[in-house]
Amino acid sequence: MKQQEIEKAKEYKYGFTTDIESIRAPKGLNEDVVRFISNIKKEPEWMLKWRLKAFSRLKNLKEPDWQKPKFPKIDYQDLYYYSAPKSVTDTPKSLDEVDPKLIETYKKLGIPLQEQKKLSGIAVDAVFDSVSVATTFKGELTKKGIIFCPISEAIRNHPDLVKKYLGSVIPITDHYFATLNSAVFTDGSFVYIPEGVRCPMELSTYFRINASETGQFERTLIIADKGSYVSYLEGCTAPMRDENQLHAANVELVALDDAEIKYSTVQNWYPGDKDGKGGIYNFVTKRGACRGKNSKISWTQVETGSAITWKYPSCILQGDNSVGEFYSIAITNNHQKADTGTKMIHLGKNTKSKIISKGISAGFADNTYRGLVKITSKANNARNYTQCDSLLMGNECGAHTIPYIENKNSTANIEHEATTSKISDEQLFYCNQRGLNQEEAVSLIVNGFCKEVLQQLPMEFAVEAQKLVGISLEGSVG
Amino acid sequence: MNLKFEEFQKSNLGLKELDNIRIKSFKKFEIQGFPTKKQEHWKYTDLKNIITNNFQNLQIFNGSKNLVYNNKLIIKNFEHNKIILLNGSFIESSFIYEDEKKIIIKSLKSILENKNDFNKIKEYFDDDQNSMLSLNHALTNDGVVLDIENNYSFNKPLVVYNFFDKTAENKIINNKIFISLGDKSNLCMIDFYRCENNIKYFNNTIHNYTIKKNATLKKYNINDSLDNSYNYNSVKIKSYSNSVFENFLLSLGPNLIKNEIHCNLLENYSSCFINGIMLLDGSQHHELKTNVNHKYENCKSSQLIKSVLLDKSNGTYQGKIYVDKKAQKTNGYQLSKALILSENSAFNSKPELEIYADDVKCSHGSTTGNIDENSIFYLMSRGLTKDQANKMIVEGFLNEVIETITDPNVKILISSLFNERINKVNV
Amino acid sequence: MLDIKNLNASIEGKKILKNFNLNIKPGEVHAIMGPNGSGKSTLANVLSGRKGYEIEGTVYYEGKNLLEIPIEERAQKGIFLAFQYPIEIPGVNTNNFLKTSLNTIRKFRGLKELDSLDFLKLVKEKSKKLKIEEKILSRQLNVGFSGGEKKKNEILQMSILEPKLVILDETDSGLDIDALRIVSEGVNSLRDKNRSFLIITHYQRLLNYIKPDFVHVLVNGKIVKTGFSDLAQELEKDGYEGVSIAK
Repeated sequence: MKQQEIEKAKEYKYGFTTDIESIRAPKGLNEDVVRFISNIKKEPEWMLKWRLKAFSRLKNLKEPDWQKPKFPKIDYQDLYYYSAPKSVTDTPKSLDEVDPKLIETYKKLGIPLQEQKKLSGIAVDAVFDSVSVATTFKGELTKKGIIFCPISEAIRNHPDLVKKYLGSVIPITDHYFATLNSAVFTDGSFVYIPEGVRCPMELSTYFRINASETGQFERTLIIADKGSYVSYLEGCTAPMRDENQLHAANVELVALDDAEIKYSTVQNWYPGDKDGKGGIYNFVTKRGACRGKNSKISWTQVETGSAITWKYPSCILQGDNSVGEFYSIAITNNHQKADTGTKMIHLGKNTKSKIISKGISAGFADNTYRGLVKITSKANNARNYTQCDSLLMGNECGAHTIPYIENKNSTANIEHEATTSKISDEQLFYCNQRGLNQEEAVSLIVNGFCKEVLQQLPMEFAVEAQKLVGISLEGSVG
Repeated sequence: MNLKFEEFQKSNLGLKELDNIRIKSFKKFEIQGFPTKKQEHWKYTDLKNIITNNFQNLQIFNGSKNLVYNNKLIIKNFEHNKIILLNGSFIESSFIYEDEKKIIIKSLKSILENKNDFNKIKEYFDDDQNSMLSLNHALTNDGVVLDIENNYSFNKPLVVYNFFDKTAENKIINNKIFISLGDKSNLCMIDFYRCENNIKYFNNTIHNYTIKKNATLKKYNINDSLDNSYNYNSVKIKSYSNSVFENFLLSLGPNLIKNEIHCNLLENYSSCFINGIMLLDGSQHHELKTNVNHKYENCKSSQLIKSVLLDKSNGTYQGKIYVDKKAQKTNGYQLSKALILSENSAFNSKPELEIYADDVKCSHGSTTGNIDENSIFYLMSRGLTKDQANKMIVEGFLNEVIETITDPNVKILISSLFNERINKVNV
Repeated sequence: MLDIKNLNASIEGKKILKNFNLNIKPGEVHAIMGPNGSGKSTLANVLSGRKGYEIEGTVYYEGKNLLEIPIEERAQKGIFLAFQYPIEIPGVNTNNFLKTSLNTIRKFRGLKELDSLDFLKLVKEKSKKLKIEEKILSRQLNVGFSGGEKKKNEILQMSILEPKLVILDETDSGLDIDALRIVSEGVNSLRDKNRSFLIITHYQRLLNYIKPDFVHVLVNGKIVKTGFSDLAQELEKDGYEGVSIAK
């Protein structure tokens, strides 16, 4: 490697590419590409119709432009919408059939796919560009009646569940990127937890963009039937490329009566280099419906990657007594931009929501919290508590808080607090005096600042996330 | 809606430059129309909708011959200076408590007729942030320009009376007010509104204030009278070093108010305080939108807004603190508290921070909810009826903001107007 | 161990320490007393490396130019400052902080880093010895601590980090008698022939519990008088003005 590349690799250790032969759809966005994807996934007719409906609606939609981070016009005709390693075009039946190169790739990312090297009690679905390459622990989960598989497989094997719930939380015409995803989504995970079952292990999906000029459009659907519980985690990485790559995922969660879904994200897509060149556009629609009474959906996100992050994991609190939570850390450094937050829509009685957001901005970055708390007139006794804190490091970055609070119910109670501050010189001096260097001190203080959110992550990932928080800010304090 | 601009334009021909501004601005307005909720800043006040629903035939107000106002509307038992505006036009002024040599007052009409004078204020006809401003530039033909010399402190408050009579019925009235305070000068000013016969009209007004070094402007918006008026009021302030701008808003009366305050803290140690209360019932719709722009170091701003919503009323607070990269050591604070006391009322708030400097202390808070049951229980256990208890709590809740008024005489005046209003309310 | 020669320190153009001289040998306990504004805290800050001061003169620590060493390295080399106002750092667990600190210092000294179990054992032992309740360590660093708890926490950190030179910056201020006793006992238990102390205080009462080898009186940025521990009592009786006039 040349010196420059070595330097770059230090900045982002997941920046390597895997040299693997792949099959792609023809470049561009048109009906044929939609048909191509549906066909290669061996989808039934109804699914193709669903996609085509989305595609026809897309023509009437425009990209939204209200967000803070502006980005150069995306040429949707200059992208590949499907790319898959040749070796997995026919989904491998077992791990033994998975291309060793792919197993090696995930190993380098720290995700063992061989079951003997169990990542302590976590089942993994690995998605590489447009396809799922392996799902671990399937056997054990099946015994409990849990379905955890690539969504393309679920479309073929569990059509009733998919038909009933796909698009039921994010309508296909919701907005431009959600509709685009509905037309051209390639793979992602499907989870169904049957009535009364507590999923015995963490379920996890690792997303990897490898191919160049390719957009990743994954779709995840999680259904927690009555009285069930599941904790799900997603992680994402991508190679370092000078071009910007588009990632427009849709994630839908449905929690029925007394069910709980905990969804955690550690997002570490390639953020671009120090000068803001390259990096992923992470335009993601995540929405959960607490459809049943006493149901609960909890989002936790640690957003450290991507050139632009633009997402609002939301909860529609339909069921009486349902609970929505949003815990977020968003770190932006160098030229990264993030516009993220949540929407809590209170429809049912006695619904509760809690929002804890920690934004950290360094370098030339811009970090925005944008959130909506909406209490409708039927949501008697609804409660919301919101705390948004921002930390600024340096004088070239920005931190913004834009909450929308709409209340139409006289029995509701909403509390919102926000602060903006910086790490004080006194705090740094105190840590220095106890032998910590500047970077250790910053990492310690920032981790303290983020503690409430880090606590929400499953153990194994909390440790990873803490390290990531430190690494993301390296070099930001002189 | 069919505003007969050409008719207005022909009867108001004057300076060529002004004529051009009018034509250009009206075109801008025609393209955009009245603001709708699709525009971010009008998200909670869909003006187009409100106008369509309440005015069958809104027309441009084009002056009237009547120069007589109703004397009985002047505030009694309160020593003050006066500026009288009738239907937006300047009628008269009196500064009997002041050294009149230190004060220059002119009608905007006279300024618009004089090329030199007009050139000095021309820049204020450029702002096209929204279509209501464009409409105002196109249709303004009167108002006030007030200059206060350096080192002059007013002895008594100045009340700017905004009277409206029958000739304004179903009209849209546009005017502008300019106030400039020289170095180390002080003014306490009350913006006071009254109309006759409960007529329905739309008042679209723009104020521009300049507060020079070490000067203090205290401004009180009194919108207390229950009337049928619709109001959009946009205020822009330029604050220079060490200056103070204090604004209190009593938002109780009219059908519709949207107050916008854009305060620019341009130099060291300038400060801005915006406090206010809303007490709404019926189908009143009030909004306060603030934009405090910290453009320089060491400036301070603070906002406290309390609202009480009854019946089918709708209240909104959109507050924004902007901190420029240069504005280190900024101290910015916002707090909005609202009580929603009826099933059909609504309150929206959007307290916003946009910050580009790192050494700042900025925070905001917002709460909306109902009266705490425990407090009511406590008062009732001491023998109050539920209604008394409610009223007492609402009064206390809002009084806390009135207590922040720094001018003692104005505080007494506002307290009494507030009490009058709260006694008409069914909490 | 520590040799300060002709030290001048000013902040924003204001001179605070003026030709200050002091020599501390291993095992010695020095007390510096002085009225408010005499430069006591500035001395502590300059020695521990706080930024913002313009400094002239020399400070040698174990034969090396201390002024060129970064703050954290001074700590790693054994300088411990007990803060007058310990800093609150929200969200940071005290235990975790202390473990990180101890291990960076151990690493620097070529010692094995302690794992969590050994660390907890050490903390238990030390806190028991110092009669400090262990539970303050599971709270956020100094957040919501009372004045006494903050100071006790500093002393516990000191005993765990085992520094060579301890600077106590008005550690006695705001303490009740019981806390004062705990703090003093902590200091006394650490006295040995290789460890030196620089005790900065306004009042004599701390010196009833910790007997210094030398007492210096600091007025207007200069040492105006040096004596043995009985000087402290004199000061208590006559006040600082008496001393400067006597000079």
